[in-house]
This record gives sequence, C-alpha cells and structure tokens, in this order.
Amino acid sequence: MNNREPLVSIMIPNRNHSAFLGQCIESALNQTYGHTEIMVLDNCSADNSLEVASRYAKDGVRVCRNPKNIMNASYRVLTLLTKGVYMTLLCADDFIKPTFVEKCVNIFEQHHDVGYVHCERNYIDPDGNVTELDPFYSCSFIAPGHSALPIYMLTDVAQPSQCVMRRSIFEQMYGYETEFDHANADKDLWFRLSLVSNYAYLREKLAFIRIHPSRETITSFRNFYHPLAMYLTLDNQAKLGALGGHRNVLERLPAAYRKLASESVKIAFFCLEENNRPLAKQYGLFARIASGDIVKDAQYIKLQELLEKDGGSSECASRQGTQSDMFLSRKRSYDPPEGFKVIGEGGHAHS
Amino acid sequence: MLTADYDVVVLLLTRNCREALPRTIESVFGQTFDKNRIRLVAMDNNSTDGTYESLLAYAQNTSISVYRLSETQLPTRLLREATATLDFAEWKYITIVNPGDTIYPNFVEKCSELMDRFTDSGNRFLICETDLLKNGVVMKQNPIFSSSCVLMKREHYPHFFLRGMGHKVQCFFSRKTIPESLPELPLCVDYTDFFKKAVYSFEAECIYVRDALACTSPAPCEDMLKDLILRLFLVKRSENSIAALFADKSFKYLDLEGTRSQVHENLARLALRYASEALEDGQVKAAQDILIFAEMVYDDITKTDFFSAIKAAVAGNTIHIPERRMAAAENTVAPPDGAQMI
Repeated sequence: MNNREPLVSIMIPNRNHSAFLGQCIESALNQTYGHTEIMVLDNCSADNSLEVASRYAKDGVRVCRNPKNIMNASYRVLTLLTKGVYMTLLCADDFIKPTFVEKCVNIFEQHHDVGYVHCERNYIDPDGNVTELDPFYSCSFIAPGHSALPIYMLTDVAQPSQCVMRRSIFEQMYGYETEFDHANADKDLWFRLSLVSNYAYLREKLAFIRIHPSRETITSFRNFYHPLAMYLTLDNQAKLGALGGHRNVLERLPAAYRKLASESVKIAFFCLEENNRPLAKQYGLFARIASGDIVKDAQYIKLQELLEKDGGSSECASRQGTQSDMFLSRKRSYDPPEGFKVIGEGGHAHS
Repeated sequence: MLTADYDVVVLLLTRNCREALPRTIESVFGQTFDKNRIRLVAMDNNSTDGTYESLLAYAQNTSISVYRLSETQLPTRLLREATATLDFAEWKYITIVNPGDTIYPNFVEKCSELMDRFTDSGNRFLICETDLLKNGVVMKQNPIFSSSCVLMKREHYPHFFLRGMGHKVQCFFSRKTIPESLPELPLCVDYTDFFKKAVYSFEAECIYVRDALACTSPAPCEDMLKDLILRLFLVKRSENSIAALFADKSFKYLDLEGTRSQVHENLARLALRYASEALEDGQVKAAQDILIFAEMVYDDITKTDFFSAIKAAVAGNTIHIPERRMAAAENTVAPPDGAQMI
C-alpha cells in the first residue's frame, strides 16, 4: 500500500444482494490503485450477506451492520464513517474494473477544479449477460459544472457506481437527500455537484451496472411515486438554478417537463399491458399536468383512443418490450457540454 | 451566540416580510409564560425590504437574537443554519413560527406544561390546532381528532398524518425531535413529512392538542398545482414507508386501503378548492390543470356537483361556484384505539 497516495473510500451499501456481493467486494479489492479503504454496510439483510461480506474481513474490508433497515440513510452513515479524500458509492450488485479508481484519481490529481468523475458502463443482468451500451458522450472531457446542469434535468447519465467524488466538494454541496427518491437521487446528486464544481467524463467502460428488469421498474411504475418525485426534483432544480443565476437551467425546463410527459405516456402503455386501466389513465392525466403540449403527441392520442375503447388493454397486451425500449436504449453519443476540454489517455487536457 | 438558558426558543424564519413582523413578535412577548425563559431567535434569509433592519431595531430594545444569511437560500437551508446556531445554547423546547403567524397568550405555557407532564424521555413532540387567518378574517378549522390525546405508538400515526391535507397545525418540539434534517422540500406542507420521519426514525410519541393555540396564515401559495403535487408525493412516500414498516406485522385496525382512498378524496377536494380560488383570481389555465390533478388523484371526484360546477365555470358557461370551504372540509374523527386521552 502506498500511503503517500490520497486515500479513496469505496463504500458499499448492501441489502439482500448476497448473490452479487462477493463479486462486488472482489472488484473493489482488485483495484490497481494502492490506497483504498473498503467499507461494506449491511442494512439488516435477511439473506446471508453478512456471511459473504465477513469472508473479506481478513483482506481489510470493514464490514458493518445497521441495527435495523435505515433505508437510504445508510449513505450518510457510510460518508460519516469513511475518510478518503475521494469516495465512491459502489452498489452491492454492481462491480467495477480494476483500473476504475486509478483512472479517476488520475484526473482529480491533475485537475483540482474537478469535483466528480463519471466513467462509462455496461448493463449486466442477474445471470451475468452483458448489454453493451453506447457511451453517453462522444469523447472524454472536463466541462464547467454549470454547463452540465441541464443534462441532469433531462436524462440519466450515470449511476453511483460509475462515479468517484472529491469529498471536499461533496461536503460543500448542500441539501442532497437520498431519501427524496431512490430512483431519482443520482440525477439530483450530479446536479448539485455541478452547482459547486467542474465535471469530468471518462469515455471508458469501467463499471458494470446490474439491471433487475422485472422487479424494481414495475414496482416503481405501480405506486405512482416516481413521476411525482421527478416533477418535484425538476421544480427544485429550477429554484436552485435560479438562485445561482443559471439561465441554461430555466431555458431547458420546458423540455424537461415535456420529456417527463412523454415518459408518463410510455408508462401508461405499460400499465395497459398489465391490464391496469385506472393507472394508465392516471399516467395519461399526469402527462397533461407535466406538459400541456402532450395532447398533440401521436403517442398520447393513441393512448387516449385505447383508453376510450373497451378492451383496449387486450389489444395492447401483445406489445412487448416496453421496458427495454425505455430503459436499455441509448442510441447515440452526444457532444460534451459547452466549454469542455478534451482529455486524453492519462488524463491530460487538450484544448 | 446565546449564553443564557431558556426553556423555550421561538424561531422566526424571515424573508421580505417587514409588514408582518410586528404582530408575530408582539404575540411572542405577550405570553403568560415567564418572559425571561423564552427566547425569540430570528433568522433572516437576506431580506431586501427592511425586514432585517426592522429586526435589528427590535433587538435594541428587546431580547431578540438576530441572524442573517449573506446569500438567499432555500427555506430548509435557513432552518438548518438556524438550528446550528442554536446548538450553542441550552434550551428545552422549540417552536417555529412563520412571519404573520401569531401564538395565543397561553401557547407556550400550555405546551410546556403538557410536554413536562407527558414527556418522560424527551422523545415527544406536540401538535396543536390553529385558527386560520385569511384576508384579514380568522376562521376555524375542523379539528383532526375530537379530543386531545397522546399517540403512544407509531401504529397511531397513519390515522393522523394521512389526513389533514389542507390542515394547518403548530408544532412544539423537544430538543431531540426537532426536524433539522428534513429533506429539502418546502418547509413543509405542514406536518406530513415530519410525521413520516417520526414514524420510522424517531419512534417519538406525539401529544395532540385539540384547542387552537395559535393563528396561522395559509402559506402563500405561489403555485397551487405544485403544492398539490408535493402533497401527493408526501402521501405516496408515507404510504411506502408505512407499507415497509408494517410489512411483517398485522395491525387489525390499520386499514391502509381505506385510509388511502380517503386521503386521495381529501386531496381532490383540496384541489377543487384551489381551482375555485384560481378561477376567482382569473387564472383559468391554472384552474384547468388543477382540475386534471383532481381527476387524476381521485376519479370519482368527477361525479360531484362541485367538480361539474368548476368545470363549467372553466369552460365559461357559468360563474356560480359552491361555497368552497364547506366542500373541502374534512370531518373530525375520534382518536385511534390505544391513544391516551388528555
């Protein structure tokens, strides 16, 4: 271990992911970067997670267990009990490549204005099948935080396991509450980090994100919680953007609401597939609240036709793969945010 | 920094509200409780209308503590800064007042007495009913419960906080239970979010006081639609927490489905009240969106006369709107089984 290198905390919150936890911890242990602390915080799992994690205690992994399921408050406990200059939140069912930490730290050490680094990802299912994704951006770069702000109002660039943060910047950031909405917390985190620091993006696939299509997405559709959280997050982002004088945030706000409306219409179709007409109708109405213009959208009009028709659900039941349409597709690599500098191999910036 | 000890801190969070200050401050100094044991602490959110100067002037002659932020912040940041400064003082209880609100002369005396009497561990908070001040007129609210009581167990909370969608209350916290780490939501649609926190983190007990001990103004509603969506969000989040909390247990009197339907109906009624207010202000588009919300949250609302009347008014066919407070009011219910009566 090279103690002159800055310490990096790899924080692994876990609940009932014993099937993947071993792979996750090993990927943290196998980092080429020399100076890390690894902490697993088990949130009172009902499976044998603690047993799995304990096997790695001899390797220096700190294994802790909450007295009860404290939900997302685990993140706060993890940040309180670790002390790395840099930190990453590695989800217990994801894993990272050996050079992940090294490459991110490389950027931080050369660019002190950078508060957080994203790398690229692939998706992996519970059986280990990998889905290759197009990278989000067209090159590796460093960009001013404020120019990245509108991105996080519109789309999902990265999961926590793709990110390393500078602790001093994380602590400057105010008001991040993972409790707000689990599915939404990442975007809000990236937004708030961008308010106080610059952003680096590494166009290399260094993380594997586990996708459990059936379970989690369906639950989040059914309880109608997610779209409300999205709406309120946007509202909050608009307020934060206005406080900071970021005009680009306000300019993109209508587009962001419009996107939320389109997503709601897609979810409405999914609800019809499940023969849940009342919920489909709710999503349709919510789409109108998010953006009045949606009524001119072809998909929305089709949804209304199906809702008015008896037996609309059965007609729709043959539609397959709505979920994969929505969550797995990413069709092109976007240009970086305004004011970016390209970074090359080794983290050096080019103008 | 505060150097003396107080029994009660009254925290006043201000932002451009100079006109509303005097009645609030006078109500704090008019308490029957020993005035030397009450401390008024004002935290100003970078006001530009003379609020801060006015607070300083008060501080010359009275025992107000004044703090000011150098940059305007969202309201919850203000609360966190305020509670951080209060860490340096010794105090037992705290209540947070909004500019323009007044506490009645016996508020501190009665709340302190009840907290002293019923608080063994300090892990309790108190909620009392309030009157509403709107357009210069004081109105009564239907109390949540028919009598004052102590909600002893967290199983009692769902009965309480899934109701009262348009209800205002005043809270009185012990030091342990102040909600300083509330998520950054507008502080807050009254108490709903705080209760959720109570349910699954504090395990605190709640003293409910049926008497109105304060007079509050409904929060100025810049955007009624957002207010409604926030309320619905909090309800959904509470439902999730409760469902997770009670997943392994069965409470025979906990009728989540029935409660949920009632809550949604209440929200829809509140939406109709907002829609009629929007119409009165000539905001037809806002009224239209709010009607969509009402239908979304509770489909059967479309069958009510109130809904039809507003819809017709939106369409421009009539201006007759039924008396909205009656249509939106919720009924008082008995305290849940097992609550300790006061």
